[in-house]
Parts: sequence; structure tokens; C-alpha cells
Amino acid sequence: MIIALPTLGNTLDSPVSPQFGRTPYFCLYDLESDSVRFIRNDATESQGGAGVKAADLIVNMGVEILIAQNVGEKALHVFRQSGIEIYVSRANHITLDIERYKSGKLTKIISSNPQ
Amino acid sequence: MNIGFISGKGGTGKTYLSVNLAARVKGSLYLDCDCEEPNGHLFFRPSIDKRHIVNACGVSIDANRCDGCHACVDFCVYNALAMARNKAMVFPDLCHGCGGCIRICHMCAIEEKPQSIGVIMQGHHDDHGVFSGFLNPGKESAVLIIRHIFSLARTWGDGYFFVDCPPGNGCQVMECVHHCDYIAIVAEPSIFGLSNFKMTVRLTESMGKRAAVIINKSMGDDDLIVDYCREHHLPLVGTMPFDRALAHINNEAKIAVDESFEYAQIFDDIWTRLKSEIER
Repeated sequence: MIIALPTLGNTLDSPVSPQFGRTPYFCLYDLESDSVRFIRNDATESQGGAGVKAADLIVNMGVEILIAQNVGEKALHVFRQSGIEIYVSRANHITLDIERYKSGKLTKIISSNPQ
Repeated sequence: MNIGFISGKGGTGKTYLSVNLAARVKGSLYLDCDCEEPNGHLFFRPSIDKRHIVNACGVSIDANRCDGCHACVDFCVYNALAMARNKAMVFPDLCHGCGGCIRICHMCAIEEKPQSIGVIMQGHHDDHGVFSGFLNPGKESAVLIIRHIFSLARTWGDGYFFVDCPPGNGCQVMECVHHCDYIAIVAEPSIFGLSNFKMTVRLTESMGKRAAVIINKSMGDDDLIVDYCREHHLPLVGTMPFDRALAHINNEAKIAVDESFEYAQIFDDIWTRLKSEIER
């Protein structure tokens, strides 16, 4: 199972991005192999519809869980259709957030404004 | 004869000038192409003769046919499509209606589905025709409404059509300029006004349109605009003063030329000069 987080950088100490659609990177964490990799988010270049494009990328990568601070309405719609679960990042920290997810401490996002 | 009133900067007086000039020219047509916030009708208060709904091409997807190939998503530069559970889905708000995905889909799973983007109110005031475009809130662009206004105007016959264009120099302004035979650039003699004026001059020049300039809100020193006009061989056909009484009439949504003989005279003079430039 792959967990994705939008991140500001491509290293493990990078903070989780406050944006979803225009985040510069995504961190992809493979739960089974306990391995991490980062991918660039091409959607940042888009004039409009960055959220939809980024959501499509995440779906394409076979992600099942997304941990984010915010997710826009359109991207959320794509995730609902795809059956991807979204959790609110509280620690704002890649490994801490993943640990909290594993121990069941993160809240599921059900609307586009979790706060 | 379509005469487009453009300015770059908003609030320079496109509506004010086009409404008042149209009101002084017998049998003329006033076309409000500033569809995001049309306001010319507030001055003319036309009797509405017809309402025309304007549709844009949207798309609908037959999920049973979609084989999840992802070609349409890759094609759409507006990111209006995404793939979920191997089926394409569309976001109508982002769709610009280019129809490219319909052509590219090898399963013929996408078809055209018209979506209403706005309305054109066709009316009249005395012997003037008044056409106003209204873009529905949340819609991307009024280009198709503008195109439709011009095609409706063609049925009006001959005469002078005063085209009140949107501000800026974007797609909607270019669509207006494209349909116009002559451009009247409304310029504000300020540093900000000059900066926008330059962009607007470049736009008209690059689209190969002839243009004249009207200065509005003049406080006496218009060198900023006048010098630039001279350098670019642009005829200056009128200068409207910064006048509290005029502003007051305008704020009450009254047509200045109907209020006093003096104002009618000023606009008649501008029209005489503009017309002779057009006919040159």
C-alpha cells in the first residue's frame, strides 16, 4: 500500500506542503517495503486545474492513502471517485505523520476544509 | 461599422464614452461586450425585445465505453479531465469547450453536451439598438458570448455600432478587436493609465487595426498620453475634462448628452473628429 504526502522538498526532513495541487513534490511511502521516494509535481506549471492534474497523478501512482493539510474541492472529488482515503497532516512532518497514521491517530478528511 | 472602445485599464470611461457617443448618433447600435459586468443597459434602460441564451460546448463521458486509456486527460491543457477507477471524469468549470477530447477518444466515449454560459439581452431605446451580454457567474470566459453579440448585430443592418469592450488586453478584448473595423482607445492621463495605454496600443497595432485616442478625465496636463500618441502617429480625437458635474450625472446612470446641450456639443465634436478619422 502506498501513502502519499504533498511536500515542499524532496528530502525526508521537508515539511508537508500547505497546498495540494501546487505542491512542488509528493513523497510516496510504500508501507510493505518501508521505502520512500519523491516525485515532482508537474501540475505546478498549470494555469488552472492544478488540483485535478495533481489528483490524477496520485491516482495514477496507485496511491491508496493521502496525508495532506488541505485538499481542494475538485481534487477531493477525484479521490472520492477513486476510493482514496485522505487524512489530515497534524505533525506537518513526513515520518511523524506516517507514524501517526499507522497508530490510527490521524483524522479522515471528509470536506475540502478540514480545519 | 464596428467601433471598439478599449482602454487596458478599467475605469477609464469606455462605457461613458461609448454610451454617450451612441446616444448622439441616429440609428446607432450599442453593444455591451463587457459581459463580466455589463452596465451600459443601466444608462439606456432599453425595452427588451429578445433574450438569447448562449451555450458553450461542454462534454459528457460514457463510463461504460471509457477503457481508461488516459489519452483525453493527457490532451486537456485546461486539466478539466481526470481518471478515477480507470474511468475519465470531467470538471465542467474547467472545460473551455475546445472539443479536443471528443476527437481524441478512440472509444467514442466522449460527446458534446452544451452548457449555458450566459445570455444576451437584445433591446432598444428610441432608435438605438442595445445588445448586452451577461456571463453567468463562475464561467471562465465570455468569448463565445461576444462572438454571438457580433453575429446578432450583423442582422441589424448598416450603421455605426459602438462596442463597449471589457478592460484589460486578454482573450475577450482580442475577440472584440478582431470583430471591430476601427478602435477608439480611451486613455487616462496618469502613469498607471499610460502603462496600460501602451499595452493597448501594442495590441491594436499587432492586430493590424486602425485606431484613434480619446483622453478622459483630463486635468489639463495630458503630455504623458499626447507625447506617446505623437510617437506612434495616433490621432487624438477628443479630450474630456475631469468634471464633477459630469461624474455626478454618470453616477446617477443618466446619459450626459441628454442632460445638457453643452455636453451634447462636446460629444458631437468628438464624433465629428472620430468619424473623419474613420473615413480617412
